[in-house]
Amino acid sequence: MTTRVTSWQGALAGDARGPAVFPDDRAPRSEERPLLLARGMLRRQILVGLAVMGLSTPGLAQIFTNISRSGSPRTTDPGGVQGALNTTSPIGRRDCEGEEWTFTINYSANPGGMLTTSLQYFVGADAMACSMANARAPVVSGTPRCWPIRQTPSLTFTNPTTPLSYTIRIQSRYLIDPEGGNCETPGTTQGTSNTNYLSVLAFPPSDMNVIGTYPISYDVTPPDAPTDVIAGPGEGVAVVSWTYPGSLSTSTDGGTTTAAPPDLQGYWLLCDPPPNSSAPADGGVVDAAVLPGDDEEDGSDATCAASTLATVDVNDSAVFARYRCSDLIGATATRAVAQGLVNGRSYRIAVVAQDLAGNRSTVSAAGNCVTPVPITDFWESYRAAGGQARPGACAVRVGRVGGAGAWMGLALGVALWARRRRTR
Amino acid sequence: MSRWWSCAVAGVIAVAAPSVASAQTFELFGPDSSRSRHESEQNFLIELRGGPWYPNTDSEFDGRATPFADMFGATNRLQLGVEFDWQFLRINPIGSIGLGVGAGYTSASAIAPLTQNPMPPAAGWERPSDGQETTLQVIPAYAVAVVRIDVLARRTVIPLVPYIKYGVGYAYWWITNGDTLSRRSLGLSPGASATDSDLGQAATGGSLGTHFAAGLMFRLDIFEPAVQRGWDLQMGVNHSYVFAEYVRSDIGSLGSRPQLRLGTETWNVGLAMEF
Repeated sequence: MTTRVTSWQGALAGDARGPAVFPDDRAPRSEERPLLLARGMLRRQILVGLAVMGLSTPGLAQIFTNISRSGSPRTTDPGGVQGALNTTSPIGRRDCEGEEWTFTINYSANPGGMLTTSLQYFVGADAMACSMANARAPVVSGTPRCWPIRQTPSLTFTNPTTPLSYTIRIQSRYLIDPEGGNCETPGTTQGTSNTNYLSVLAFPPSDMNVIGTYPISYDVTPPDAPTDVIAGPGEGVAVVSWTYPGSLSTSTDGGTTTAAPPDLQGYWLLCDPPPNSSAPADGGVVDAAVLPGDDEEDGSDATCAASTLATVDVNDSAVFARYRCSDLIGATATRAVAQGLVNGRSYRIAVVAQDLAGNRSTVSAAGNCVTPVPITDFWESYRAAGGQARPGACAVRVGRVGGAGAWMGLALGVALWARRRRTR
Repeated sequence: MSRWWSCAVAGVIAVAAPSVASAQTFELFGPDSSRSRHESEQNFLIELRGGPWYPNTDSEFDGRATPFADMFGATNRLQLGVEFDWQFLRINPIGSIGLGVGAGYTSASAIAPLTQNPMPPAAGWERPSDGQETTLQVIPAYAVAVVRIDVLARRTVIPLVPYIKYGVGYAYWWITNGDTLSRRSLGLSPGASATDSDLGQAATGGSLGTHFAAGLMFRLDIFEPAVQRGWDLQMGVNHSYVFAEYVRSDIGSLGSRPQLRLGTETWNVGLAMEF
């Protein structure tokens, strides 16, 4: 599950601790501490609102404009996301590997009238984390909640002049894990939230120098793998059914209705040996000579080599594409057709689930061994039974239509003649 | 059937005769003399219809084989359609003559059996519990002459309009094997021989025949006359109906070449509006 924050604007961040409320500068009494704490929390909530909900601060225009992302392998998935990903979509595991975000920074004032010598980029675990010096890594004590982006080359921009506008490119991996760039197990912020906050800081450092914050949602947790994969033979295809652990099935008189889990985009089928291949890559059994009527004809007692599907790296686009034997199947489906198979060749088929962030599950356990064989469709059975019809939409020669057509033409002529008389 | 129609015609004449007699003139092809001066001009009718469909495909074999029933079973399919009529002639005060065109959609699907060897055993194919579907999809269309007798609804309190239709019907059809169009091939398709002219051709085509229908429309105006007048004023809808119709189509019976028979004898119900 991911949290999306779609509204943003540059904001001047303040000291979230709040001002002293006791004029005599005495220490608060124990009964006054809850009030002090509540005021501090209220002020912090207001500042978070200013930073995230889009209330601008005088003197600072929008900091981030023309935000875009590119390079995700998801944008070339067949049947999946096409073109550019939405900037509010969470960064997934596969996005993280090769994607880059582009931000245009508009910087129009020196916050607080200070002379800025550089702009630096941090990622905070919450909207206000980077505004507090004692939360920015490295910290003297406690646990940091804001980290500098360690992307190489450095994103630091020195000696900015105002007003200025320039473009920065940040790899997705550093928006998730600013220090390590780890897509699989982002160490710094993973587990605390599914939203990070990119913060631009004007230096020299101070608690008042955050000039812009932008929320980045991410989800690198893969969905569960489907189970109970069963395959049946078809002509050059296999019909595959499966179960998804999180799905809810409701049986009705008319069949079974399956509700997809909310964070699921769909499924892929993987076939071993790979579809459309002339020879098995992994030693799979090829029975090119199997014909209808042979032992393997019904697809039930065929033999398959040990499947290597379990070793397929689902995040390796080239390997995944090689074994893939379907387009992306809808999230509510529990049955689909594996395409591109060869009649008489034995296959094992597995299913991979994909969530809304493009994360792919591990490969399910491969199903039974299945051998595609010809089927007899209705046209073939009609012709085999002696049916005389032939294909062709214009199978009828108009000149031989016969009496009905002639009568229709005559009726139309009379009607038009009569109507013409009537309108005179 | 003939007795029923005789009774119906006699009833219509009996009820309508006084009204017809009281009409000023019997004006053939004239304007609609019974139309209220507040009523908008009426030239067209549109119908939305649906009903069961089961084609007579197997009649081609005279009991020697039943490929449609074997594949798809004996269950009726649902056919939905729409018809548009141009009521171009008014025969006062009896009714109207028009030209109608209609089209619909229906299909039949089933899990296809695996091909056995030797091919083809006509019966006893083993059907897997799960497999590829084969589907026959049909777009039936027709062009008909329509005679509607609306004198009862216009001149009496009986809100019934009987009608008949006759013309030509055409059905465009296609058959799929899984997700692709079916194609016969030598060695894989049962009974295929090298001399067959349709090897490799996609199973899609057209069939021509006749179309006959007779039905009864019930005018809904009687329930809310004011609402109907409002519709007419705002949208030009003169009358609205529910109807039931007997349909007999012999699609595949005309033409010079053998065609896939997709005719049916069935009934339809639907909604109609005159405007």
